[in-house]
Amino acid sequence: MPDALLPDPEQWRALPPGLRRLRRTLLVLGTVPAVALALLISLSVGGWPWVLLTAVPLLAATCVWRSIGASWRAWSYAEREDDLLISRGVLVRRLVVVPYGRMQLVDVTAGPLARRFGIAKVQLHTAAAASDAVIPGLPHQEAARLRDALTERGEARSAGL
Amino acid sequence: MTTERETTERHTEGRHTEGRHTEGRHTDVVAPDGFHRLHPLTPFLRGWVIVAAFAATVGRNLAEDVTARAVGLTLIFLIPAAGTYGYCTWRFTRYRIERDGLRLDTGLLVRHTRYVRLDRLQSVDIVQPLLARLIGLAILRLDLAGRERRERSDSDGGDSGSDLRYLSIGHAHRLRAELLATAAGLAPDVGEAPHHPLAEVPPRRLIAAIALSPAPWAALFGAAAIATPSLLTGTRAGVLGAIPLLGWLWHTTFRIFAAGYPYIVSESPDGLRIDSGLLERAHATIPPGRVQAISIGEPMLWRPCGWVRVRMNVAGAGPSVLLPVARRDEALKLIGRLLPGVDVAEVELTRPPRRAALLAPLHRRAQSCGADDVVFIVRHGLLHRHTDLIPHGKVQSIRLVANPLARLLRLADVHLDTTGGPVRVRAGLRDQAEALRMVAVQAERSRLGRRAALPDRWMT
Repeated sequence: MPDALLPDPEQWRALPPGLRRLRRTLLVLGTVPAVALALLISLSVGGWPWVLLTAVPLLAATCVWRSIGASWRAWSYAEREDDLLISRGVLVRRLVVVPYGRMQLVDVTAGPLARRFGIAKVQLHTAAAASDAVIPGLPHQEAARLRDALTERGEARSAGL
Repeated sequence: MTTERETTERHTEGRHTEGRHTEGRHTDVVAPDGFHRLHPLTPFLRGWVIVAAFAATVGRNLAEDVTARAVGLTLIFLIPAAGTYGYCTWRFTRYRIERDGLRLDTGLLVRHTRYVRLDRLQSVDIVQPLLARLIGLAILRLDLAGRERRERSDSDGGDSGSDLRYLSIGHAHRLRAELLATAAGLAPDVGEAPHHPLAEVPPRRLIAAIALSPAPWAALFGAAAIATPSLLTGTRAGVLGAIPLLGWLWHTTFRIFAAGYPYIVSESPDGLRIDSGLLERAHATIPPGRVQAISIGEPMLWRPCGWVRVRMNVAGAGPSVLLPVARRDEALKLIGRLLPGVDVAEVELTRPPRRAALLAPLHRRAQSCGADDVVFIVRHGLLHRHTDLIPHGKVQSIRLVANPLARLLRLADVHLDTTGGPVRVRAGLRDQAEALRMVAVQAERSRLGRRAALPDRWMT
């Protein structure tokens, strides 16, 4: 879908696997106790058919696993000469165009968990609250580079409100 | 020049405030170091808030047994406390105009000094709540750049930290003129800039417009429907039940009237001035180039009369209504004045593709959008018709959103984001390829629009 805006697909950058790894690790950490609990319940109730109960958390986890992959794949961004493009979303597709001159500030956030996985989130703020321009899961160097590049271009192209 | 200034001043303040200039000079307390204090009646107005809060609490607990003695005892403690608090806050609040800014000291225990740089000033407004107006006082409200961002990050509500409340009205007008002149780099004593009116709301039209809106009638009939049966049977419950609806009726009729009459939009070198309010007065100034987006609303019942309501988004804090009710041509003329080069009638609008009718069977025909070199226009709404316009240079970001249903039909919405306010620009249900093209073209147009726009300067 984004090709019409940017004929050259080379310029679109995908996210590194860090974010997918982080989310999937969290998923596994949540699934293991859920499966154990289901197993425990089914064994205490007794009877073999009850063991099928454990399939429920496993199935749910598989769905989430796949959707994590899909949403991670759907996220991409491109730096053009005058604006930043962000394309994301699996069910609801979104394409955000933020001109550099409109940026008011760039946030880089990394929680303790995200730091362990070496990723950070870059968020662009404009004067409009509705423009939700977020790139999650960038490696630290890339996040820092993007932040500096964006601020520099923002200064060069800055316009009044 | 002097006579002109005097006439404009008189024009602005009307006869209500005549003769208060001298009073303002008398009550303006100046310390030897150049610091001014607020009006000495301030503590009474501020302490009033505490007493009102107390009264509200008592009122709420009325069902429980509150004896006169309890109320009296509480008041004995409360009134001196409120008085002391009010006096102390007044005593420790002072301000001074310095070379390139306004210094405001507040705080009883924790001293707080705020320095308002005049070159960061967005606007200076005078607001007069009813009670303050009765005794000739006013609030001078200083709006600063970046205030919106702060509000968003810590949701502190209004930033009242840079309000001067209360000043006498004459002093407020003088101080405002002085601040505006200093901010524009003129001598501080040039006085208020001359302005000439662009549009006015005649009271008869406002009354007719209120009578033609559905809300008051809904409130009236609702109240009647609730109260009549119980009046006939003689019970009291229904009458009590109608009270909130009567409150709503008051809100939708008189409050709107009092806010919309008198309503004068005028142009001055400081920007667009809006002087409004029957009971509570507000004098707002919108510096040139601060209007981000405009929405023309045409309620169904107003359409035969050709009346519209114009609302707008203003960068920073500012009024959101441009004209409460106006003739269409009047409104368009004013918009052309505000956003030069914008001619709503000239822009060609196109409807969404035919298959969009599956998602919006009725609304498809009402929706359309289009753009010319200066402005992007979206029209929507079947009964209450809206025409939203945003100049290309004011677009903050562009978004294309396609939800699953729309994607099935190869449709997408295009949002042109603007600063906070009542106007949201969204071109709904466009063909996907067209929407993508629209985003690309719009990105280019806003880039050119931004380049063409002069850097915003305060009053130059």
